[in-house]
Amino acid sequence: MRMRPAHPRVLDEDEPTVRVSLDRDPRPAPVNSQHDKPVFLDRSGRRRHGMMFVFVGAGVLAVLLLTTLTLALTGNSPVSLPGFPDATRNAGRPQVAVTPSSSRAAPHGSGVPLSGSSVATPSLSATTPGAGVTPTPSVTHGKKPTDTPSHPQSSRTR
Amino acid sequence: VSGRRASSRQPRAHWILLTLGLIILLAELCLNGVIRHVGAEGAGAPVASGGGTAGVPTSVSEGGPVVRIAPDGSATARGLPDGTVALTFDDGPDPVWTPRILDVLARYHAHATFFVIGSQVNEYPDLVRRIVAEGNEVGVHTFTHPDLGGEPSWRRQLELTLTANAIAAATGRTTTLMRPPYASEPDAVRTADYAAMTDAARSGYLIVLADHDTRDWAQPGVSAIESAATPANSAGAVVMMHDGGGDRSQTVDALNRLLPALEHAGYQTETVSQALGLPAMGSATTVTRVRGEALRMAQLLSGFLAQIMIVLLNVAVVLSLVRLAVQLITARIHVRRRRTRHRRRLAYLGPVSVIVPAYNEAANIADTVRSLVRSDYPHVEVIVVDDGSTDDTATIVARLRLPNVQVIRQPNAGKPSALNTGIRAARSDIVILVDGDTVFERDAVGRLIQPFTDPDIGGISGNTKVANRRGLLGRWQHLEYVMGFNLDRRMFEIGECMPTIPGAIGAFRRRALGDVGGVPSTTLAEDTDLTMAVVRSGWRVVYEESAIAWTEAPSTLHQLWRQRYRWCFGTMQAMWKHRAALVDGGASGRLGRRGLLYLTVFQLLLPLAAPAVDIYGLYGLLFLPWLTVLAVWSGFLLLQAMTAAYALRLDGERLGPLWTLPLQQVVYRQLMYLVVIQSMIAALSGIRLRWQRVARIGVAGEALGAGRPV
Repeated sequence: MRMRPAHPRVLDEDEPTVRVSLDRDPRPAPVNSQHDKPVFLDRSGRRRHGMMFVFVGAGVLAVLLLTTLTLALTGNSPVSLPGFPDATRNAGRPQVAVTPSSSRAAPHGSGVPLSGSSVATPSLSATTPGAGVTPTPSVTHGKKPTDTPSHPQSSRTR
Repeated sequence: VSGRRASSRQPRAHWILLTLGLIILLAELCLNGVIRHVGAEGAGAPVASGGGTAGVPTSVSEGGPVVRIAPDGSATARGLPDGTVALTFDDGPDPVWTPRILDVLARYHAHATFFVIGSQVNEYPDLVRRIVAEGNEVGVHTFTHPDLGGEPSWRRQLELTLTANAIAAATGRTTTLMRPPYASEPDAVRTADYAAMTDAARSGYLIVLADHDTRDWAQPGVSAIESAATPANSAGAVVMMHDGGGDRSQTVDALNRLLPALEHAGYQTETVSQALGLPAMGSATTVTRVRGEALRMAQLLSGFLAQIMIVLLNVAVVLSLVRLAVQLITARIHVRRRRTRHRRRLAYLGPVSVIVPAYNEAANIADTVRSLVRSDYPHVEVIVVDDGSTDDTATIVARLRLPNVQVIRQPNAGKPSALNTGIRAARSDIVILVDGDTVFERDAVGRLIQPFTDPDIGGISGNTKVANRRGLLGRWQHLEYVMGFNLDRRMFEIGECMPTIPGAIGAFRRRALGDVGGVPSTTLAEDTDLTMAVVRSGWRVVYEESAIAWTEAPSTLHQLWRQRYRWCFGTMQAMWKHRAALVDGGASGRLGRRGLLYLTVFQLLLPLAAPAVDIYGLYGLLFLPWLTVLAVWSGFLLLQAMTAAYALRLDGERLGPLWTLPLQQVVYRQLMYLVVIQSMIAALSGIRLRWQRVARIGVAGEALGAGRPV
């Protein structure tokens, strides 16, 4: 029954093909690849082991990079604010030292920062200049707008 | 299912690594974005930060250029002693202009103060070392040159810290001098500027403004710069110039004239610290230097990664456009080819055997078999091979008592084995392989085999359509089948490099199957493996889009994942198995150099790069102007939508599901590329993967019954 004649209605152009195929054993050979092992399969487990090494390596690299980033972008290293030395060399211009809360006070002659001046200011506003200060329009004396160089990045060529 | 035991051994570590990698990539891209001012509005002045001057003490606005704001808020300002000039250079170091300025300074034995930008220090640490080595001084000019008055306090802090660390790494020194970007003379200090200055003072910095702002950045001419820099009446002065941020040739020329003139007038040209009698730059702690080095490395890496990403994106875009163009052209050729064929009457090509391998297909098998028996083709023999089902698949078929339907039972041995059993039992010269969950249109068998009138053709792919199109997942898969698989198949036919006849509906000449030794069992994608083998043995393989089979697509993400994992892993296996085709001649070479390369690029490499592209998209949302992002996004979507619309029209489908296309970008896309990554890792690790079945509920038949997809 496997060798049935070609169907009478088969197109002429196809007939030779059909007949040829019937003349040979039409059955596919028993699949030879059945004994082959699946593609990629590594029964020894060596590749899996190797991948673990790759993973560990990549993990170490990732941790290193994260540490670098963290080190790079965190950590405040404050410098201590230096004081001005006694102005023996300084004859240029009058020294002015005023607390923000008494911004209209008279110029301080010595040029030494007024360490005690905070006593005169409300304690909370001492660190935020302007907080306890009434805006004093009379202080504006012909201020010009901040001079702004063109954006330094814009003309940089990289 | 046998796959369960294997799946417990699936590698997982790579997901952690991928997450870490993507976090690092995003952080580096953002760092680069901040440093390069990506998305900032071009050139020009920053937005004026607070117009008023309220709160700026007169001690500052009317005082000297060097300002000390004590922790208690009290401000002291100092000027330079008479006969002393402190030249200051901002915005460097610059690889072109800083060395020239240093040369001029050295020629006249003058020393100056350089207010450097931290990110520039990281780029050119050698220049900063030279600045310091030649007796000059370095001050902080922030890390990225923002208008500090407009920045929040944490950002101001960060700008100073990072720059100090960068200077420490480059020179091993610390500095206590700082000049805010866009600073000028003391009477130009505004409320917001003063707040920023106060913040800087809290970090330990003296603020250095200027007596004379030469405005050399505007390139006003050498003479103008020189005269702006020259103090009157031997008064001391801090002079502001620039060694970075643009062409500074006028500054260099002016300096060449200014320095001898100052010397002639008896001026001392010193650093700010020297002029004020402040201590010289201190030495940095090891921790600070290490942080600075880390910062430099992070910055260099970020620049590198950003460049790589640009290249990657461009390559991806070009490749996708080329693919689209090729798809559209080949689709048109294919349509014309088919039109000629479809004008002819359908030919009778002899009896046809249909093999249905079935493993626990109780839900669908009756519909599948009935649809085959109802076929309008005269001689169809249906062979159902029950591959050791544990449900009553075989009994269901037997109970149907349909003519020309044969049931073969075998112990469970896998789909390839079931197919081979069926092929051995088949009595016809044309064999159609069908999945047990697929329902054929009435005319599908007759139409599918028509190309066999050409004796060179050994295999034919039919057109699989998604039956269950409810919900997003169904619609997404429907779109993918129509615009992905179907356009691809037309292209593959024209390119004579068809890699896959889908298991759902494909026809083979028995001889072609004999040539390749039956259905191979060494890959999980036996359909791809078989098709590649058939093509390589010299048979032509074509796509017949009018032969329609309805399939039930996975209805949950989990099932979709398992299906695609198998497809992807199996395709990789088949590609690897047939890699020799790359160097073969003839038909095999065409498959290798066209089909395999196409699959490698578009189904392997681009999906592997896709997570990085998504991260870049996220970065774009954060840094690029929203309008740009929107424009790119909608352009991309429009292109995709037009392709999809064309593909839907070719397939005679409605355009309705198109609305789900934009949503594909958020879940579907990620699933599709994550599965490629998982497959890649599994392939490299050499682990065993087994068939992972998709649970069916049996909706493919309903689709046929209704005549329309559900």
